[in-house]
Amino acid sequence: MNSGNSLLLRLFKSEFFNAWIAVSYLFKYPDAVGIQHYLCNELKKFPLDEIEFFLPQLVHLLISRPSESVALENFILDRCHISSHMAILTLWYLQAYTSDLAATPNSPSFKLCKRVFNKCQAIVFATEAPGEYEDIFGKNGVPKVKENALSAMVGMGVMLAAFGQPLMTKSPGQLALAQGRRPRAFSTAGETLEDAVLGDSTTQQQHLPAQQHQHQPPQPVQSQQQAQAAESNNVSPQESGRSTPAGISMPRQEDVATSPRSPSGEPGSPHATIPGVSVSTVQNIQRNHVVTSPSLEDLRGGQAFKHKRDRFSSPRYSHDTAPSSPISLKFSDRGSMDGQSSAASLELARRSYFHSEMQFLLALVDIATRLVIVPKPARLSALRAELTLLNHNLPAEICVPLWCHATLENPSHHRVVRIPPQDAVVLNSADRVPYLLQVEVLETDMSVEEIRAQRRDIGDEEEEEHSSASRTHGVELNESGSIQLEATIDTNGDNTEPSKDNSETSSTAAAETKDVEDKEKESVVTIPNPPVGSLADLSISPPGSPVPSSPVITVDPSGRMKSPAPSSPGHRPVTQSRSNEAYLQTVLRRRASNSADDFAEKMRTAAVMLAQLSQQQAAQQAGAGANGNARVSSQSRSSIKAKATSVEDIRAKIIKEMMALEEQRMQRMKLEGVSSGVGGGGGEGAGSEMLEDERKVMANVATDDPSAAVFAEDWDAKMNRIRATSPYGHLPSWQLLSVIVKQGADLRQEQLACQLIREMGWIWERAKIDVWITYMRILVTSDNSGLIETVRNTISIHSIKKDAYARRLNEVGVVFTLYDYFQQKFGDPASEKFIKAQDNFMRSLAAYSVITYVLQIRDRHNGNILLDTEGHIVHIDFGFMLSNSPGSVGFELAPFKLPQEYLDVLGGVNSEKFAEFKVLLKKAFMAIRKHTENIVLLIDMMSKDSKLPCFQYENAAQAVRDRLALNLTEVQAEEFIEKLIMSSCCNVFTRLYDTFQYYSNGIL
Amino acid sequence: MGKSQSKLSPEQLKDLQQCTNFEKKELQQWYKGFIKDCPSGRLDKPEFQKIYKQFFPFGDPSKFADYVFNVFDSDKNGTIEFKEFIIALSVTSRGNLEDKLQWAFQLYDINNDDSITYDEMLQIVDAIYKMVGTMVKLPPDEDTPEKRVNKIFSLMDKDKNGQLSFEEFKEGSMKDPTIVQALSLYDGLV
Repeated sequence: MNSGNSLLLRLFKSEFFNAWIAVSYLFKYPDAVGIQHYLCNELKKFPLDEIEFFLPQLVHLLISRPSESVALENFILDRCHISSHMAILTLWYLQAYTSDLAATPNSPSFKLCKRVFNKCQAIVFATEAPGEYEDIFGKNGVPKVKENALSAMVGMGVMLAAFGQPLMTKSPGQLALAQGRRPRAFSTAGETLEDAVLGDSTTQQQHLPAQQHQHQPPQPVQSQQQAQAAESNNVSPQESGRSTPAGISMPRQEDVATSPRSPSGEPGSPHATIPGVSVSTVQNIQRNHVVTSPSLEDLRGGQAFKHKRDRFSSPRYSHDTAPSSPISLKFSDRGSMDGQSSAASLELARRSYFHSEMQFLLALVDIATRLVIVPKPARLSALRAELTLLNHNLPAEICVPLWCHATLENPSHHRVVRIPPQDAVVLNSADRVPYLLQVEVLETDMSVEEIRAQRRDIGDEEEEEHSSASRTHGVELNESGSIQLEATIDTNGDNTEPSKDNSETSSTAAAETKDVEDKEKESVVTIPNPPVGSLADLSISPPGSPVPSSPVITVDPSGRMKSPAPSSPGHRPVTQSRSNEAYLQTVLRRRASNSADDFAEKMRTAAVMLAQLSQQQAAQQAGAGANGNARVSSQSRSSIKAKATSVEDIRAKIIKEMMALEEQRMQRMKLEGVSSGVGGGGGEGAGSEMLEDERKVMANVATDDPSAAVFAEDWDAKMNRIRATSPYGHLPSWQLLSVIVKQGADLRQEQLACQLIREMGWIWERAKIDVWITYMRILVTSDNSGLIETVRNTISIHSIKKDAYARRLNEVGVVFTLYDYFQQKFGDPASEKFIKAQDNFMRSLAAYSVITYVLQIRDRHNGNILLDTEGHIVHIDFGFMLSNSPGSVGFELAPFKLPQEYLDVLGGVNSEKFAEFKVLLKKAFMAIRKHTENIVLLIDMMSKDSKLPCFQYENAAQAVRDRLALNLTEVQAEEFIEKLIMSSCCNVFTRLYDTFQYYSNGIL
Repeated sequence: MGKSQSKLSPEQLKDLQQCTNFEKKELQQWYKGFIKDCPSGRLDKPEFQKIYKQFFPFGDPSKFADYVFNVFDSDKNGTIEFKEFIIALSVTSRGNLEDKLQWAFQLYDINNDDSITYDEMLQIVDAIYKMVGTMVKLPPDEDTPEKRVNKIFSLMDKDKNGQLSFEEFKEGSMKDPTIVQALSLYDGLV
């Protein structure tokens, strides 16, 4: 072993050593403490973006193989200290793993995951990690070692060697210390607390409904105001209900004050731990940085992503200090932090930055959650309403990790300045509602204030004129039981007075109906004296509710539903003047865009009500199901049934109201033009030139594939259009990102596929093989949500064909093929334009053929294959690859998709272009074959104990090796590829699959 | 001792409190840790070497581990028990510099005759170099065990008798800040 290892060291010190070798040996020797430490130390020398590339693998390795060594854990956390992007990405991965492992809370993996998660969270929010209190810090704030006898014996041996050669003792000594700090499983003085906290969160995790949501805060969102209201004993029914959660073990005594459901755990509440101020207190540890998406109130106030800064009334963070460059914020030594106000405020700024950033992304994801419940025709409006509200909180010091180019060397993060609501589009899928949106960012170091100052006015005045008119379109109250969505603002002609506003800031969604009897005694939550006939019970979110971030609608004594309202002035004397000031700003801003806001708020309120309604219903059904065996009296059964019916009624009514709202909006838009603001200029305003675009988009929304039109618009044209109408468009560093927000889907497999494709792209680039691929960024925010970058200027082949049939481009009965499209789009096959497009097609097809074959990417119907405006083909949607294939349909047997229409575009099997294609494909294949180990490593590292569907069947890594036919000689391999190509040509199975898709899913 | 019990008895505690600088609670915690790592309550030489191999994968630590084992195993019964371990830990983490040096001197004084010969020093330094391997870049005048030992003796063997007495050993160590630094590894951290 030793001789082998000295060879290993020679490899590590050779010129061939790179991050790939480091990572692969980390993977090969997970339990070799010394090797792990050595490699992790070496990895620190590589640039962060290389590490970021491997992050999914590193985190998976860490969690799936708990080992003796703490090197990897320390390494990842160390990188998180250095880079805010890394920290946030890691936190989200770990969160996803926490969900994965929730079923086995006693497994070493889960415990490890939870521990690292807590530490990572502590880094992100600059609070103390549980278990790391002063008493276990030694001198100079260096953490003490724990009772690890073995590493202590090594450490002592190293000390003995000091005399013989002190130069050789430094790094082994540090290694012994690092290993010595490894937490012990048994309870020790320093760890009792950690165990308690961990144990508690474990319990909490266990009780989480294993499905859907799982944003970090397992409890429903609580607004600041609620929290404070509750503290002053003005406990809302919500609170009282929550304090006796059925089936949830009572928190430990010492934990009560900061129990997860206790309001004082609210992020940014005045109780939150401020480094250097209250770090030593046991209270508030860990609970204080629960990230929630902002409440409606926060959104309206425009403070959603910056309220902590205001609250803490700490020194202003100018652009040249903290938040502009969190990546450069290196944690100061814990010991030296105390008493240094600048360090403390830096920490604070950092925390606030992270918090805002996570809140922003969670807010985007939550919108997708809520849209599911909204009826299809109203979804687009609801989406735009939500985004309009979100826009009030921008610009903000928020970047989007992965998209943001900031590095250690160039720590200037971009700022999200605006989300044009009218360019967001709902992408209806089977049972989820992902949506596409554009995010305007500035790559700048300017502070938000500076950015605001440079804002240019676009169409604001016009909007204001219309705003008064809009106030009239509140929905009429109807005593006979219809739902009324009434923003109080509407009934109130004057909303410029701050005092007035204070009382009506809660956008009240009064909803009364006579026909709901509250007989639900077995309901999880009981409401004190629920008024008969109120909807009160519907608004209660059970603990751990699956709609975590919707603002909780509370019930006031009169039984009216309310969104979280700000507490009365008495509750917040300290911040009152500040909040008044802030409020004035809000009011002024709102004046400019009143109508859009009204509409947006009503829509959002309705969406929230719907969400809670369906959640309530689900809970009841679950309850009814669980009671099925227990002797449930027929009476209570029928009451459940009756209740179900009435819930249906209410739902129908809310939906009806939403539709009415939408209709009104459309109507008004027709009458007054988009400039009325109803269209969703979002207070940022959009001049009348928007009208055409809005109509163009709206026209397509009516069809069942709204994405088609949006994707069809040329990216540059769209960007210029948005830029021209953006108040920030004139700023030189303005950029536009285009992403799809997904909820309800685990994007980790998509991410793996994109990572593999990216790696293949690099292999080809290095080998100078002129193929073409594109790479999509994928940001995983939990095990069931995330962001996907859109591929610019593309349209699916399905949409191409559908559009062609719709417009009757071909004679009836004649099949419209890709070749027809190429002709139509690029002109005569002999033309330069066509030839260029054909070449692009060929180069991308060669690459994607190799990719789909090597990775066994399945479900290759035309909805998953895109074509860009230059003729490149692009594959998307990697839900089926490596070892899994869609359902029982196993007839995608061709090595890759090469139907007649592709051949036609290339000019047929006897054409020169096809010959060129074959040569290129062979070269591309051979290059990948040469670097098999890179591909295999990425796959292999992810496969152990993986929850990803693509690893459920066979040894995926070995299968990749097999497909690359490594046992063949070069010559044999080329013959092998030739065979692959020929068997793919017009493969009967490919045709079968397309036919199958046509008949089963209507995909052309 | 020697039996693997879950806790130290009051007598054992009393005894250990007398020979270490640890409190009862600390002793119990360390005992738990020790038993977790060596469930039999004792550690023999091969096991000890194995630990060192984990930490020094690129070299051959077996010889050095051997010498260190002998220092720990003060009753020379062939195993390290908790008491031997915790006394060593007490010295290394809470003892003063002189205590530490006294303890370290045992390693180099292989035949236990209160002086370190050139040969003894060479054996230990050679074992250290073998253990660490080529991981550390050394200055040219120390890059072999012989050079290092020559340097040690030329600096510290004041009476030039080819042996280091404890006084010479101590004086030489205290003059070299890197040695002092290395000896403070666990100060305040245990």
